[in-house]
Amino acid sequence: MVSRTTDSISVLQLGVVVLAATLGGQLIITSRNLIKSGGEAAWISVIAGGIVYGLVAVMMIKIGRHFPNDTFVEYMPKIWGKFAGGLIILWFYLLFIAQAAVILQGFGKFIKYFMFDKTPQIVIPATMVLACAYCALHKINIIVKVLSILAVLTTPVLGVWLLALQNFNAEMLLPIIPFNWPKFAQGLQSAWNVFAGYEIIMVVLPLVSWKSPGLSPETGVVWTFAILTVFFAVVIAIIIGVLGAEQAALFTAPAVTVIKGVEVPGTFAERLENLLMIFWIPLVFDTIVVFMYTLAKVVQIKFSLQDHRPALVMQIPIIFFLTELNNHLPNYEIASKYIMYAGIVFSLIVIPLSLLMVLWKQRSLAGDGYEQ
Amino acid sequence: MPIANINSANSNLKNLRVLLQQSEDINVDIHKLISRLRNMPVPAKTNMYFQRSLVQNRKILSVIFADCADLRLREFNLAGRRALLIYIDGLTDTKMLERTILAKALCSQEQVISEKKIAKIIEQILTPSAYTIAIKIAAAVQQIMMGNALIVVDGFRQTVVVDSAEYVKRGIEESKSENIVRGAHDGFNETLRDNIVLIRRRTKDTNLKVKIVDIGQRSQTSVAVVYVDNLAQSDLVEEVLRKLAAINIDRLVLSYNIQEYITPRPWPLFPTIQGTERPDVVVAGLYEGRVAIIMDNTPWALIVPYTYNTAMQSVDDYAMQVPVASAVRMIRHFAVLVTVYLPALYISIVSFNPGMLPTALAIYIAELRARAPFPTAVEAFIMVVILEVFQEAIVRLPNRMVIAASVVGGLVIGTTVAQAGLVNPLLVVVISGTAIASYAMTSYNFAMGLRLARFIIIIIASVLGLYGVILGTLVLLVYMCSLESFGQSFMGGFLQVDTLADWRDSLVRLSIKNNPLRPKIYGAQDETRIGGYRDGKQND
Repeated sequence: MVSRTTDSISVLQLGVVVLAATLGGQLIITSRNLIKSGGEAAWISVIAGGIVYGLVAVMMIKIGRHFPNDTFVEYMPKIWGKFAGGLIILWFYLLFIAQAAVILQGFGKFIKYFMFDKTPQIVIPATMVLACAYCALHKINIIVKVLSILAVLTTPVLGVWLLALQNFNAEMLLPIIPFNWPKFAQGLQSAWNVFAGYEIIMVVLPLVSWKSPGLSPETGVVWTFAILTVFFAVVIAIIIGVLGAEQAALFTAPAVTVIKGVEVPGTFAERLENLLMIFWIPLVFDTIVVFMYTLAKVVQIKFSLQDHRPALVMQIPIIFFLTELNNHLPNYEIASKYIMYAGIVFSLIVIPLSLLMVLWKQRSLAGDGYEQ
Repeated sequence: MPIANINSANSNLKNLRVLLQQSEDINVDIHKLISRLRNMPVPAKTNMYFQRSLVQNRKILSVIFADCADLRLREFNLAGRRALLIYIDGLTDTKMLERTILAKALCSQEQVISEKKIAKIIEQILTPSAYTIAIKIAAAVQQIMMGNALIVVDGFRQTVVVDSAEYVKRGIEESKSENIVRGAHDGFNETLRDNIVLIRRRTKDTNLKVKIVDIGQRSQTSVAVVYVDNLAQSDLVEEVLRKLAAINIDRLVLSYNIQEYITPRPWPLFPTIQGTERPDVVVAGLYEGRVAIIMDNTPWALIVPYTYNTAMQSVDDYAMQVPVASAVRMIRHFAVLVTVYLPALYISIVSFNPGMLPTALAIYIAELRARAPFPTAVEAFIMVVILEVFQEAIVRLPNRMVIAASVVGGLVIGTTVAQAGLVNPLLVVVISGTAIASYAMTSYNFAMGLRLARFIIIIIASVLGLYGVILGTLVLLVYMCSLESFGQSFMGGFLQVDTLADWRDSLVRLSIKNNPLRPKIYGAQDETRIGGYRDGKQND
């Protein structure tokens, strides 16, 4: 039976939320940096990234299972102490708000370039933030309904990349052997940008009604990461296969350039890149909505507010200001790089250590304050 | 005549005038007082009872029914006592009263003066088909207003309400607003009892429950809440009853009055309660675990909750081949998109993103646009407004005028405006397509909501182009998801990953054999339809 009143989501819906948080702006905006770092083996870096960050996501759920009704805002101080826990929460908040600003800035830049060349760029992120805020003001079950409809309607359109296979040259992916480990490592670093956003699991998890029989959150998240990994790896491989790693790194948006080269003569939709951009808007919308909701939830829980809406309204100008700041930075890519490092440390150090701390405390304190 | 007498007469006349004036003032005051007393509510828990004296009771009823020319009071002898028959002319079956009350009473020689129970007298002498005993005046008066007759017998505080309501009513006819090709053709009428019978005739399920409440402080309109006890969630039924009980209005005229009261949002763009004139639609809704609200004096039944999926379903979908029905269903979904977006897409592509079009088409449109004097957005606005005015006029016109108006309107909009060069012909095609698409909706109220949404999207498209159209769509989608219908989102289970079973009757319709579950979104207590499948296996 579908819940009529409670503000909760199912495991499948958790998968949709994770999908929405990661599938949005990242691929088009970050594909250039990823290919630049990973070279011909960038698609292998994406697969490795999918496995690594998928494991981190499972770790997040494992930690959450020890605190079934708490978000990480509540349990981090219990694990790390009040001060260190507070710092981690602040870290998470700054990471997400900066990430949202980077995505919005990139989104504004690309939409202006491809669709709206005579309009000031500021208009695009400003209107997008307002639209996203309107959605994020609602309860999670309403947000998830929106995300689910958009996921079903827009995600299949991303299959348009498969049309680029007509220009695909498998030799461009070579050489795989000898394997270039340093490039692979750099690519793995950049792969965080592709999967960035999955950390919302730590905030949304208490809202998941996982007590009902069926799919466990771990399985749901693993499936979501499998889908994401396959999708991202295929697209990156297609980009490299069509443009070549060196050429792709020269384009601002190689993911769009690949589609530009596709010719479907005799059909109405001759310019597929426009179609791609149209369907990219809802994906960015999804991501920003999830980010804004997560950020507002963090503030709500941290400051014991009744509702997440005041926090959400207050963060609208902050996100907008950061987006504009990005526009005026001499080299915003440096800022993006530091955000990426912060994200990697959070995912690969803070989360595993937190899980270890929970397990260690569980043993040593005989479960005092912890639930199995 | 002596002057003194004249003066005295004048003085008396003057006094008389003053007295007359004062008496008129007193009369006005008395009437005001009576009116105020009549309007004063009876204090809570205060019951007024009939007296033993027939004269007293007649006086009470005369005051209550003062200035009611259609009230009939007939005195007669009943078992040696004086009795009074009271009913409203036109609302009551007088022939039945003559046959079972008055004729029997006149013929009877029995004297049961010693009897204390009035029911005994009724059973021994009179033969009404059904009756109840009333001792409270308010209850008896309400029964009279419902068309039943009241018998007051001298010496008894108990009165008898004879079930004799019969009034002029429309027969069972085909619904004019929900025509179908194949299926039942009977529709609701304005009589609550008939409407409930139409539902009962379709199912012999004893779990089908009917609760009747009276709403409207003055009109006391009967409203039936119908549900299937072991399907509808109890909290849904309770919520419906609670919301109905909370309606504070003097009269109910339309079922939409109820709809406005029980809808959580004051200004919903789309209907969150289903309205139908078809009993088969109500029965289908009840067996999905939903609740129907049927009001006396209107053929429009309401069903809650209501979602977008239901708005896209038509009775005809279930009376044609599955592939055809599925194709029709998809066309209906496509028509929703055309209704809302076609003019906006035209504006945004022509004004902002002509590069999206194939080169040949872009050049063709540019040639057409070269002669048009207005910017694209203004041009589209003019056409959309003309279309709306035209549609509104057609709805209000008498049937005989509609064809003439259609020809004139079609010619003016379709040919003359384009020939005059005010708008380009392609826009005429766009607007015509939009209008036709809006007629494909199964719900008139939903189609009206889409038409208003179209205006909003056009405005956004005029400012932000294709980007605005997408942004507007996203906001509209959020709005539709946030619209609540008795705890359910208006978008319900449409394309939801957690209600995959509902997809079988959503964008397409699968065969009834392949759709063994009730819509999950309505939360029926029993999810499986009888004779369907449980856990993938067929029930025996």
